[in-house]
Amino acid sequence: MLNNYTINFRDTQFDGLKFRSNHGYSGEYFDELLTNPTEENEIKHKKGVDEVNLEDIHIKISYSLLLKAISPVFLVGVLIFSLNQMLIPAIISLVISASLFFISWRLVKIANSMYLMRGSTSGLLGMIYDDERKEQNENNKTED
Amino acid sequence: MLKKDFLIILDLDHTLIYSSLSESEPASLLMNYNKFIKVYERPFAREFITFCKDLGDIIVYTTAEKEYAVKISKALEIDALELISREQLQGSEGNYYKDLYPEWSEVYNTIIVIDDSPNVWSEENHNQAVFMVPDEFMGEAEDVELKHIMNQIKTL
Repeated sequence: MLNNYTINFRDTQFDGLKFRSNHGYSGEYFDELLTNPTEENEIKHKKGVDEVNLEDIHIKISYSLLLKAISPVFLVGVLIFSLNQMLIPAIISLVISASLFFISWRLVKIANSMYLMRGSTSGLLGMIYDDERKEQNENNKTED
Repeated sequence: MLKKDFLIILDLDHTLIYSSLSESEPASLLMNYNKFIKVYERPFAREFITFCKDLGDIIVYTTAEKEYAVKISKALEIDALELISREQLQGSEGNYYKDLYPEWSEVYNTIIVIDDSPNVWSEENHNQAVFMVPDEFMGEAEDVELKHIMNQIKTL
């Protein structure tokens, strides 16, 4: 049921909720690409990093929605405990509900910031590849 | 109109900072930009920025994208009068070039450009401003280029 759910976030759509990473890219894979800094590897690197970033955003948004859904349950608890004059459990429920709502809001904020950084990350990777190519050319010249 | 004394135009990448995919570099870490990219601060960058602030107005002029440039400027506490980023530059992927704005010379007596890549500026600009070109910063911990530039500026 959860996988039929579509999440719209900024101009991206995510299918279903996601709580675990399974992108399949490793640090070694990215390191290897940079060792041979061709334009093709640069494109692969940018694509991989973007996929990892998007997955991170997807996971954060999923947790945010989950927490937002759980938060009202504790509010109902506050109501029930209050009606039964159980002050301490009512306060605890209220604090939990507010905390979950706050964490959910923070996760959306982080996801927003990560989304904004996608473009500049690609630009930075381009710059890092340029540096690497320059360094390799200089090394080759020295060896010659 | 009375002209102000100095306008300092600062580049970011390889001048004040270095962005890297490596786990660590010898220079001090400024920030983790994201889970892949780390940004390292050039030795004496803070002292240099304070020195520039005391001297006059600062404009950050970079070929990097705005989102990134704003974050770096904030982290380094540059308090720039203006931030000019890739979105405002002419050129295309990998070939952006920078140009001095004519109004700057109407407001300031001296314009100092601090950029490790003087070739991205037009020939004409080189006659309108004092160019100080530090060696490209690549994350070294013993780098003293900014100290040298401070001394050079003091002699102006």
